[in-house]
Amino acid sequence: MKCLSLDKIYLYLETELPAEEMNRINNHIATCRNCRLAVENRKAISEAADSLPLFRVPPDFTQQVMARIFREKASTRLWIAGLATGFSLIVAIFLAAFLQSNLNLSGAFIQLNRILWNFVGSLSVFFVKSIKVVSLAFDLLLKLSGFIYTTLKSMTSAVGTELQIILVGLTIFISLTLFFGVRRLIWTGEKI
Amino acid sequence: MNEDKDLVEKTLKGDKEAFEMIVRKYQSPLLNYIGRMVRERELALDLTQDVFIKTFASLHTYQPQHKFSTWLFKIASNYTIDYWRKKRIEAYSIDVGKNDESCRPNMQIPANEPSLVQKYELREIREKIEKALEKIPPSMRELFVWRHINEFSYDEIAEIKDLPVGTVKNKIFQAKEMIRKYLEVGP
Repeated sequence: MKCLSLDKIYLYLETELPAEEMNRINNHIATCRNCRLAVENRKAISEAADSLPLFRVPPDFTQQVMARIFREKASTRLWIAGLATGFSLIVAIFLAAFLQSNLNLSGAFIQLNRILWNFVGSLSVFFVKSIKVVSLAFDLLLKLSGFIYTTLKSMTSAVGTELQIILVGLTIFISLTLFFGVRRLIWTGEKI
Repeated sequence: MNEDKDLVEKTLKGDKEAFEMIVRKYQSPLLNYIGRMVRERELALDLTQDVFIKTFASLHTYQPQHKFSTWLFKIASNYTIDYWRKKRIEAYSIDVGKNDESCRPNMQIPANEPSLVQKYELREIREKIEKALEKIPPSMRELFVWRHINEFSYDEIAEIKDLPVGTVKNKIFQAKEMIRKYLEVGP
């Protein structure tokens, strides 16, 4: 018999070969020192691998998992319940107003329609005003950038290159500090 | 294994205790798989919890013709891969070279192989394997862990990873050869 290949050794160790082949290998390794050593080494690794120490699960792990699952499920339910309550409340208010007003159903709908149109009207006014504010802000930004541009232009002629680099570096540093400071304030709610 | 399917069915009908039994049954195998993959106990505990939550959320997609344990470990494997991708740790898709012959180990016994049994005690070999596991590619480590720690059959591993059984065997043999080489050169 030829010497064993590695995959044959592994299959032999896991008794994944037919009985006849297992016997042939047994006979071969009894006489071939090289193959016997190769089998012994791989057997030792497999045995050690099968008995590696296990990570221990904390005693309250199951409870933690279950609590997390049902807390998450409950929070979803809470969100749906909130939405349903809000909707029911609106319907209830509408019905109460309808009963109080002595109007017939079509009259109530007309009134509701008027309220909705008034709301849409106010929303449009708000929208137009918002656009106006945004365009004003944009104008201001344009003027500000024009000012910065002329200042920088005059600065380049007035100061040397080294000073310009220092000033630009200092400006970037201050801007970044301000930006991250403000961001931290917003994210963590830190008080100054 | 029908026990698992019954537990899934009961959970889907709203039986909380049925899922608790699933958690109790699989928490140790999952922790030991994830723990050996991320090599950090606290992180492994968090990820194991996440896997159970993900499993609970997608329980309605489980198809009873598959083994529950392989389905669960498929979720765990994908979750671990996603975690590593997010952390930008070496991506380890095993799909590359599914039938690639180059992934086959050198099939011949190396010449002048020293005896590990004479060199180390069993305890030392275990310690060396733990260290060697950190060195081998995660795609191989994963298969090795499933085979030797979770005691899955090659067929089960092939089902989890959607790979041919032959490829799984070769990868695991290759992993063992890497570990053996590590032990061989070690002090």
